[in-house]
Amino acid sequence: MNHPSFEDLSSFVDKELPDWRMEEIEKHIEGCPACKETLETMLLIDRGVRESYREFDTHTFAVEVMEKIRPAPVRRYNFRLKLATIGLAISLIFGVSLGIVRDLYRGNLDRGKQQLISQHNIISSGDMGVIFISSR
Amino acid sequence: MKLKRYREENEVELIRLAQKGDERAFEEIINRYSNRVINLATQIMGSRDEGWDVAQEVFISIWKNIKSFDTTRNLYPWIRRITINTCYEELRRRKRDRETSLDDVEEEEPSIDIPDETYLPDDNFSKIELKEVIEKAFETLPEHYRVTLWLRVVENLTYEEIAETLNINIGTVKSRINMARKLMRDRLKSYLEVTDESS
Repeated sequence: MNHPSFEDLSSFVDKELPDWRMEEIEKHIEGCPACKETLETMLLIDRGVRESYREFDTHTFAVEVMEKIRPAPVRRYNFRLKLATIGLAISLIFGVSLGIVRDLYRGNLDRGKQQLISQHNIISSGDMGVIFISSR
Repeated sequence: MKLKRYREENEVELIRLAQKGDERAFEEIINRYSNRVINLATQIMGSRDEGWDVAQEVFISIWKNIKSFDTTRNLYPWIRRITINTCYEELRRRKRDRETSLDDVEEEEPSIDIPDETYLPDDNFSKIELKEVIEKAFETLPEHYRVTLWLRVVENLTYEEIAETLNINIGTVKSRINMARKLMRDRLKSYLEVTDESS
C-alpha cells in the first residue's frame, strides 16, 4: 500500500474516514515508521492545542458582565436627582407665578383704590365748582 | 433563591429562571460557560484581552436574547454560535474602520489572517519548552485555520458540526484542519531538529 497522504492521516486522527480506510491506514502505520512519526507529530500538536486552553477568572468576568447588564445604581440616583430638580423647578415656577399673580391682584386693588379716591376728588372739586359757580 | 442552589440547579431550570429575568441564574450560566467562550473568542480575536472583551459582549447579547431560546435544545451550541458571530462581526467592523482610514492601515499591525513565519528566532528554540513552541505556533496560525482546528481538537466537534457552525462546507473544514496541522508541523520541525541536534 502507498503511503497515505497527510490529509488522510489528518482525517485518520479525527476518525473522519470510512471504517475500511481507517483499518487500512492503521495497518500501514504499524509497519511504516515515517507515517508513524507524522501521526505522532499530529497527536503532539493536538495535545499542545488542547493544553493552550486557559482557565480564566470567571467570577470577575461574571461580575463585570452583570455590572453591564444591571442598571447602574448611579443612574438610578441621577434619575431621582433629576426628578427632584424638576419638582423643585416646578414649585419655584409655581411659587413665583403665584407671587406675581398676587402682586398683580394687589396692584390692581391699589390702583382701583387710587382711581376711586381720585374720582372722589374730582367729584368733590366738581361739587366745589358747582358750589363756586352757584355761589357766584 | 440562595447562591448555592443556583450552582446545583440543572441547566434547563437555570435558563427558565434567566428567561424570567432572574439575574442570579444568568450569573450562574456565565460561570458555567465563560471559560469556553473566552477561550474561543481569544482564538478568533487573536488575543486574550480582546477575547475577554468580546466574550462580555457575547453574554450581554445572550441575556438580551435568552427569552427566545428554546429550552429543549442544548445551550452551549447556541452560545458558541453567538460567540462566533459576535467575534466575526467585530472583526468585520474593525476591517471596515481600517479601510476608511488609510493612515490607520499603515500604522496597525498586519491582519491576523496573514501567517507570521517569523514567530520565534531559531536560536531560542532549544531553550523553550515544547508546549510553549506549540502554543506560539498555534497562535500565529491564520485565524481561520486556528479556529477550525480549535473547534475540532478542543471543542471536539465533528467536521459536519464545524461546517454547520462556521457556515462552510465539509471539504473546506477538512482542508483547513489539514493545512493547520501542516503549518504547525513545519514550524515544529525546526524546533524538533534543533533539539535532536543538541541532544
